[in-house]
Amino acid sequence: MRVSLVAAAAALFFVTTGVVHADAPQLNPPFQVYDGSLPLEVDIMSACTVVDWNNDMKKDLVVSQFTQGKVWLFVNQGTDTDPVFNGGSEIESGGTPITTSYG
Amino acid sequence: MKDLVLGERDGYVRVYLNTNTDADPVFNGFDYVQLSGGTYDVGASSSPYICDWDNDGRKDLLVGDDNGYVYLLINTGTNAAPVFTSAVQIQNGSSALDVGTRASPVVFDWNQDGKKDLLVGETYGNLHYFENLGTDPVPVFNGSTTLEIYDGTEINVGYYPRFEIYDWNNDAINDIVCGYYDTSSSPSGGVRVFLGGHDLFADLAVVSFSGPVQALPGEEIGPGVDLRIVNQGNVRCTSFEIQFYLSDDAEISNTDEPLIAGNVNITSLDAGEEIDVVVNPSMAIPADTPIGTYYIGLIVDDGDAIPESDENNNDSSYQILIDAIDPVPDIKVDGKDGTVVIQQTAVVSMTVSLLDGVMQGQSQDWWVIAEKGGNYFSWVFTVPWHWTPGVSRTHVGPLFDLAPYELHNGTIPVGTWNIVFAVDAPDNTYQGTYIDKIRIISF
Repeated sequence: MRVSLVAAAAALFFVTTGVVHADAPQLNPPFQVYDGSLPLEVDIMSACTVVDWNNDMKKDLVVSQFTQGKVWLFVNQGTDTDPVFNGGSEIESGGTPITTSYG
Repeated sequence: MKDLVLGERDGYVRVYLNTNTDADPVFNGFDYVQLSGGTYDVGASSSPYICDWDNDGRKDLLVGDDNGYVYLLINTGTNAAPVFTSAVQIQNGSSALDVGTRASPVVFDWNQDGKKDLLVGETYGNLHYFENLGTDPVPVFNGSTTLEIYDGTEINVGYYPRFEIYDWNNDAINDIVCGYYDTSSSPSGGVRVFLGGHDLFADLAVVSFSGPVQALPGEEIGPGVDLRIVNQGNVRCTSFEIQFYLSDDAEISNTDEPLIAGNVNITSLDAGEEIDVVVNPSMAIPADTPIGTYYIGLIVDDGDAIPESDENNNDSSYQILIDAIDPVPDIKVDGKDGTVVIQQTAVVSMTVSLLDGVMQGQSQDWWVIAEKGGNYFSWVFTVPWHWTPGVSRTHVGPLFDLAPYELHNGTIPVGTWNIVFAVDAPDNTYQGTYIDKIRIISF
């Protein structure tokens, strides 16, 4: 089973903050998001969303996990323009990590 | 306050309501999204996305499913308490929008035309872009394209892209932040960012350029030319021309004299790629180039086929001396050089010809002189042309390319004749600076 994640309010957050959109983007080859000195990895088939989780005016990253259906929060330790992540934490519900069926 | 919505492998959609603050979300359990009073189940692999689809000021819900379809659940309640009573398949043309398996929708005005478009990921790693051909509140789709990076390479993250469109680096250009499963990479799962950018340009520049510093008019210099160029921009470019020129000065422009066979086509050059250019070996100095000091130059992307971030670093040049070509007089008997033996009764044809070289147009003395036993005879250009005893110049005047001209057709008196055709300085003094000789033995 797979976990698919979308932060609902986060999605609304994107809309309401009015990100400046210019023309249709041309896209560059991708780069890997790092967690400390290693590529950020919570599992295969991760879903992700970007949101200022803690309202510190810097974008954070929420990433889901395939095998255990957990959802991880990576708080940005850098700047909004140049995010830096150093470890993540499992998002909890009722004091325990959120889990869903895998896949 | 921000809440959390999760899709499930089982096909349900969970909503975790935030019970604390926007800055410090706390969740205590979840509810499943309801549809007409029952738990909404898309079957498997639900992938939710929230947006105000119909522009009525209320959040709606899109859900991708395991079969590649995308369902729209219009909110008939409020923003605070959404109510869904129908789940309608998004259409693409006259049939259901279908990306194969595991549809993962994102709503975004991708082409910035003021109308929401739909981007959908699928199992095999592609991101499909469905342009909205309708209106913003009533989107209509008819066909799709897969997203590509700037050089036309299709975006593919392996499997199961779940993505967000966001300005990751705050440059006011939207980027794609994408979770993935790529068995060809390590780690095989993670998050990749495709930065958008409007500053994607090639920048062609000359790394080094050298070649022969001395040549003759008409000489092929291609084999001696070394040229290395680079694309120091951030985008691959395709098919451009390099043109070589001969210039009076170091500033090269396309109004200078093109070199013969001095054009090279480069089919492509990746960002950051540096190559040695293979120049046509037949590339040559124009044959009519007067002697003097010039510059061999080139322009990369002559014609400006490639938009570049810097158009002022495409040319280069070096100095070259174009040497003189000496005049080449030629005299023949019956088409032969050297020593020719004939019978005194034989009728022979004697011709002279001249290549003027770089002395074209320069006034010189022309000489045709025959000698036998210490006696000299000169062919003089006095009508009628004739042989006259002694050493006299044939003519004084500008040199020009003289095609073979027959100055004698008849027998040759017995004896050994040394005959010369020469041109030299216009001082009426025979020096034979440029000379050809023939010997005739008549018996």
